[in-house]
Amino acid sequence: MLVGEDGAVAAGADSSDAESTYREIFHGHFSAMVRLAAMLGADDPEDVAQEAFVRLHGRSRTLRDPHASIGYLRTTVVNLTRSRLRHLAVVRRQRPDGASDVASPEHEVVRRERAGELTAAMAHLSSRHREALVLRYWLDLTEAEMADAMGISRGTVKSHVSRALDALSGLLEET
Amino acid sequence: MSSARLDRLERDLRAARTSYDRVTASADAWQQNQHRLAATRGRRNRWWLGTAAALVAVALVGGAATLSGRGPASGPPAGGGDDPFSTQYLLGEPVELERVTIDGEPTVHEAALSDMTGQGPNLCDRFVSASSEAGGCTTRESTADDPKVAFDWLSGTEGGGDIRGVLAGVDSRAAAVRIWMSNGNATAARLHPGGWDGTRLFALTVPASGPRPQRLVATGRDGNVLQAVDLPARFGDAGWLPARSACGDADATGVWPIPGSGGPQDVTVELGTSDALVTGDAGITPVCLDRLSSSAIAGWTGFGDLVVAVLAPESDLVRVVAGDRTLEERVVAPAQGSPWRVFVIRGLSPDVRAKAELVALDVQGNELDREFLSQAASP
Repeated sequence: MLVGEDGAVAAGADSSDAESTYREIFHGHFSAMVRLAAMLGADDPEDVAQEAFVRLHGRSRTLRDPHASIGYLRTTVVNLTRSRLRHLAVVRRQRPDGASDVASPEHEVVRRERAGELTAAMAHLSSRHREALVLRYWLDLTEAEMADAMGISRGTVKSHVSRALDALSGLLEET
Repeated sequence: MSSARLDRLERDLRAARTSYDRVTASADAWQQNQHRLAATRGRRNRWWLGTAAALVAVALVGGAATLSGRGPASGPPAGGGDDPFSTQYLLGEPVELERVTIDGEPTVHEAALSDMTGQGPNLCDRFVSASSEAGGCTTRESTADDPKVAFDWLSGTEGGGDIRGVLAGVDSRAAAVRIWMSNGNATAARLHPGGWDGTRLFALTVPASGPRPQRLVATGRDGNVLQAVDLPARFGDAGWLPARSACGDADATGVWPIPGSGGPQDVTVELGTSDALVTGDAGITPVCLDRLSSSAIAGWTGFGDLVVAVLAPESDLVRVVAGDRTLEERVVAPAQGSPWRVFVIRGLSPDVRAKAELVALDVQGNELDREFLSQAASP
């Protein structure tokens, strides 16, 4: 009998259930994880998301709880992206471009410019600061979810966000 | 920041999110995922011979944080239970990597490169004692041909909670491998010929209760760093090293400057396995670098004109540059009780710091990593 790190014991029936849950989670959340990795500045967001899912696959206990699975995926994407970032060599294969959800073309141009400035400035933030802003403002996570994803205590989430906003504001002033 | 400015920044931030709406996944993402899982399964599964209880729990953790929860039903990676050490599969002579004591029994740890399927060399190892034998195979890294990768095979071993070990094969460019332990000691790996394409093999297995391998650094013939691997990041932060936090409740493992070394008296850096706490005299509020990265510049913080950086042990020299100008260049000081190193620089005015970058270099002066100092602080 083999026992996984999380204490889950390999078993035939469980294994088929787990595979089906895994497939469901993959189809439901893979794109979101790719997007999260892109937001965090990963040079190859899809590769990061794939690796996160491979790691999830090995955790049968986590797979039993879909909510925990999403949290695990998010944390893994954050950690993998952080460890892969090379500060001067980030190659974005999927550069963000604007969405066409604004009526006025002039407004759209301004909005795009501002969004471009922001995303450019975000690229110069430290991994920690960028994570804080992405999770807070782009993923709308709760403080508890942010703390889990970033591997920090709940009490320090606000200060991370605040420092990140200051840093971003400072960078925008420079441009 | 004024409230109005903050409101605007928050609003703009939320609006900028739509910039990522068009980031999509490949149409064949699921198929790619299934291929990866198949490869990972091969990497993680161990083949089992006449295992005794003491070695049943020896498990491969290479390439991922967890041992796949699949039993022998999923089969060995190749060969359906065949012995990868059979001469028909071997690409080189098996080599004895080390002798260890497991569960009180003298045990020989051997390895060889073996190709059981014709699909490429696996690095296979076995622990052999008088009463038991257990081992496994690790597939070659998919990125092995990348010039940035020297560790073509890499796996970790856990044994019933009693042992921890690394097993690896490096490519022919690697002249040496340094294994940095969690207590700051370093040992040169004994490299053994793998018998295939100049590959050389090594392993280090230690009692889990003592210092554990934390970082591997492969260097070329002139001492240049080919690749450094942070093992906690590679094998899963939580499990590979015992939690020793400088910022939390657990005790830090190390400290900088080394007491009695004559280093600066006004700044102290306590070092955990993956965090650091910077404290100092008046004017310095304690700062926790709560998650050191696996890069050569693992983290840094600034106080006024002072910058304190924590670096990986392969960082020999740090240069502070602003454009083409070098403002400072200094050999990095080691810490006591930890593989991390620390660099402190003073006198960087805000204007200078806004343009300055911190550059970590190896012993040959090759750039390992670089950080802008214009931000408030690093992770």
